[in-house]
Amino acid sequence: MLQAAFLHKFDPTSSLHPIAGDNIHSLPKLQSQPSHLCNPTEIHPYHYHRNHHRYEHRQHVRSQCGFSFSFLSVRHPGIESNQANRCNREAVFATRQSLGFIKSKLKGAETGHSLLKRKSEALTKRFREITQRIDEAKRKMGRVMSIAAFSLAGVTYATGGGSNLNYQVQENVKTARFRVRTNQENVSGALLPVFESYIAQGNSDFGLTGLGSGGQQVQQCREVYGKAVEMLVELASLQTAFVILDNVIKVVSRRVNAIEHVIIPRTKNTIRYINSELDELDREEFYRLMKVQGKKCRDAEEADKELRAKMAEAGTTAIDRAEYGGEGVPDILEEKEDEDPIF
Amino acid sequence: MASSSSPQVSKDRQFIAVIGDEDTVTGLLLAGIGHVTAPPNVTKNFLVVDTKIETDKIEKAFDEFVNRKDIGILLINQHIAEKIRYRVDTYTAAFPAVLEIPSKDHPYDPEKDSVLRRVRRLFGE
Repeated sequence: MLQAAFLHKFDPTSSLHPIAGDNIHSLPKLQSQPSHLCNPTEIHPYHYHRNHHRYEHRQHVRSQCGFSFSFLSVRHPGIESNQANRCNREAVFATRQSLGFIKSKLKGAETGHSLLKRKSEALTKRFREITQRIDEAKRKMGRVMSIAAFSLAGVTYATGGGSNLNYQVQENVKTARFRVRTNQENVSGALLPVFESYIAQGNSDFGLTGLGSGGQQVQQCREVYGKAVEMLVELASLQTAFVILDNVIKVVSRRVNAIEHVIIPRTKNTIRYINSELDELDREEFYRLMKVQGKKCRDAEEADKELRAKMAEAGTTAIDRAEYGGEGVPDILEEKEDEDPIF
Repeated sequence: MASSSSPQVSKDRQFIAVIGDEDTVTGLLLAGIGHVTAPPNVTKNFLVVDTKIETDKIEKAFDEFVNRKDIGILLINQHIAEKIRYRVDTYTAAFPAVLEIPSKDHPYDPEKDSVLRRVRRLFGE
């Protein structure tokens, strides 16, 4: 491996000479870079092997244009060919910051998806309940209304002459006694109205209706119709809830589907894109460092050679002085026994 | 969402309107749902449909009741709803709730009810 050779050759411990010291001091700085940048064969074996041809290609390019840190990024062929993938991602810069941002976004989307899904399920459950009750109530309404109609027929018979009664009733109407009030019911965020019937006080229309004959029947009929209307009000609230729930469920399920099939895939795609870009940058950075080290290594070798040449020239005089000068610097490495200290 | 804003609107919807034949209307008026405003501009919340009345008059009354802000529930006889079926079927708003009721001469048929048909369609029956 080329890189391994570089690193081995440039082992700082192998260089002992004072002039090369400058280089030695600057080395730890380089090596204090994240280790994965310096040692590709250990940390990035997969990338390295997979993209080996690319390194060669780049080496070629760089050897032509020197040390320009060109952003001629060679993209993964899979990504380049897949146009849909490239379009289906958010417009972000491939940085670690935006990666974190997108990741938190994905997390949020997933949480929101599960919540909305649960909401939709709760609404659907309620919806099914309501439809069942509507079905029952509608059938019941058929029975109740026929009973009411029968009671009215009795009144018509008792008062003698239907048109007279009808006219009397329609003309005497002033204010509504039977009214409805609207309350709200909250079903997982959707507000459903509930009609509640009440009887306004102080109104007694039709006081004189049936005074001549059939007064009791009229009273009875009023009660029967009152019950029927109460039931109709109940049915109306069920029906309104049905219509509203129908709309809300449509909206919620549309949101669930949008998150599931559009937002989450796109966010994942963006993460994949950012990761691939960051890997690419890592490899670029590694390659740059490798080149820098190579250059330093060559410089150091040259300096080393120069020094050796100088030493070879000046060596003899230095050795002569050491041997014949007698009292030079004491050599602590020489095998000389120390005298025992006396206290 | 139209549905979330409607509850505020529905606060003052306190009347029940009715479009029906004479007997149905009389019965419901006896129950006390009728409301007629003071003489200058008289507006009733009920319409009696007899055999002589034209369909477009019924339709006009239906539109009027549907657009009134004080009506919470609109009751309509099923055989009358049948005459303006296209209007009833295209009406999808929550307020006022349109309720089809049977009349004396025409028993209730669940197959014709616009809401029940929607229920059926949703459950794929």
